[in-house]
Amino acid sequence: MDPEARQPILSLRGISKYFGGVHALENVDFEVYPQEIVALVGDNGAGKSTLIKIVAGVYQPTKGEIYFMDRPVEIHSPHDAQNLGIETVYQELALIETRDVPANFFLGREPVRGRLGIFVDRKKMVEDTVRTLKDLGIVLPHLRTLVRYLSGGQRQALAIGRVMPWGGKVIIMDEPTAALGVRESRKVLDLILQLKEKGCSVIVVSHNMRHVFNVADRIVVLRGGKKVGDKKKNETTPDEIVKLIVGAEML
Amino acid sequence: MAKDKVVVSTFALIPSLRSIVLRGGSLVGVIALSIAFASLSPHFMTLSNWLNILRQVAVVMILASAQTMVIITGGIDLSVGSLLALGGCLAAVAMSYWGWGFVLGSLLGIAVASLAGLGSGVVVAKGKIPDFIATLGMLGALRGVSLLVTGGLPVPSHFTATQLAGYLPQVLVWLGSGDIWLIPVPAIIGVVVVIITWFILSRTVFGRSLYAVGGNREAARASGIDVDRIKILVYGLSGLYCGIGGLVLVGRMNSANALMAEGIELQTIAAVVIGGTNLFGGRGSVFGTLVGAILMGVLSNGLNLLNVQPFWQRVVNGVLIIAVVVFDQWRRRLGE
Repeated sequence: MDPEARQPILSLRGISKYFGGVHALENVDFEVYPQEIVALVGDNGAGKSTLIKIVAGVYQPTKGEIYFMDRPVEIHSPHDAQNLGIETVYQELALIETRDVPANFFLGREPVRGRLGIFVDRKKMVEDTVRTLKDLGIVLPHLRTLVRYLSGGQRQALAIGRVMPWGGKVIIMDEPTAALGVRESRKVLDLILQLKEKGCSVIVVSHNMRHVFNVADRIVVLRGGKKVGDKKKNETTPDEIVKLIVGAEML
Repeated sequence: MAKDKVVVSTFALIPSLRSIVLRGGSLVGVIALSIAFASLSPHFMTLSNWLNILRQVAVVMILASAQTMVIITGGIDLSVGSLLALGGCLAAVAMSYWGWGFVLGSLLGIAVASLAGLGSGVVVAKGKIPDFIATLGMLGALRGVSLLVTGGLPVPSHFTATQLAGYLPQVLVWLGSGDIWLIPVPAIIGVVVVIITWFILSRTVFGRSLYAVGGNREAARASGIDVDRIKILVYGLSGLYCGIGGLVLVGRMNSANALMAEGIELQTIAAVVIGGTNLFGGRGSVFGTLVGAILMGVLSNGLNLLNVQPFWQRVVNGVLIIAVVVFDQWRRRLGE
């Protein structure tokens, strides 16, 4: 089914964001359709981070509206975003190195048991972690390993895997392959494709054209805080995208 | 599915094995010291001496349990001794001069110590003051408050001890120096506190948040953990533990004074570090701290039995702390 025929799950209309006199974003429209992988590309300072932080609830837009599943919404905090079903995998990973895999998997939202609601349900933590990792085909040494001893790719897999059980409909990934080797990048890209198969939409910020063209269905290009390109992958080429990123007049 | 279960239970075995190895250092230390002292003094390996050691380390055990939680968050509480004195003195004054009785007096002491602890927490979390500085300030200030409360005199003092209300309740004295079937009551309280602390750290959402805050504060925040709240609560809990420790110490001495347990913060920190808890936060176990406290107790008891001057014991304790941190760094480098 053609994604264009459906309603967007997330729609940003006329978004502007000013930091004092700096116009980080200027009248940007941005849509994400169900089960679609959107790559957000642009040079440093193009406004990519600002845009995803607005979706993730870290920043509030100066102007513009956000619609989620056709309803106007306001996202005031990361918590609001999570409640809507928008999960973020941060570039700096946000894992606790001195804790094991299940502890990181459920960081900040440990399942509880008992009437008091303060006791951690450790059995459920381990079982859910095992199930989700298995579902995603993520292989880790063993669950009790401290995150400190995991490789970069394993950490990224864990950081991505842990947003899964929360019923996230839109998953934002900031440079998911930035610090990874070739094989590890491949795994993370596979994970992104799997998320799509499981019904999620994914927004990927990346500098790597090969990775972008590997996974994305659509590519949105920002330059100087404005949207300068919005192309389906099959209708464009890496060359064209690079031209849009740097500005065609330079070539 | 059945296969998953097997995997899960295998994983569950691994940490206990590894943490035994990790904690092995201090346990081996206790055993080696015991063998050495036993061969040097005929009085060391006796039941009554070991009960003595347990009685002596009980208060350190309680305070070091609090210190373990604070250090796991990446903080440090230098005010534990002052919190103990404040709680103990207030409770003693209320019981012996104001006629409040054991229950109300104890509650007062514990409540005020907890509030003072919460105060440190607020200063650290909201005032963005380093933990070290905030609790160093509290160390001085709360000693002063204790001196004001007691007028610098022991409680009860000989001026008032002749009055009817001038004595501490027998229950309090029993808490500090009684026995149940040979086992000193303070040691039982100490071990119960350690077990409760273990339970908090490993089984509650709060305990897990302590590790998260100490392991990576930004990640904790990004995951929706209220870092400030956790910080404030852990210092409040430290105050509560110190209040309990104060009651035990006052009971043991049958007297309170504003300068009691001075310098105990160093002993608690030593017990925590000897026990393998990371001084920079994120990792640690209260059972390690228990072993650390016992090691310190054995050391000072043994030196006493060998008639080593008490002045030397301070030197030994100081050097021990440094040696243990050096050992810990070395062990960590090997681990990575």
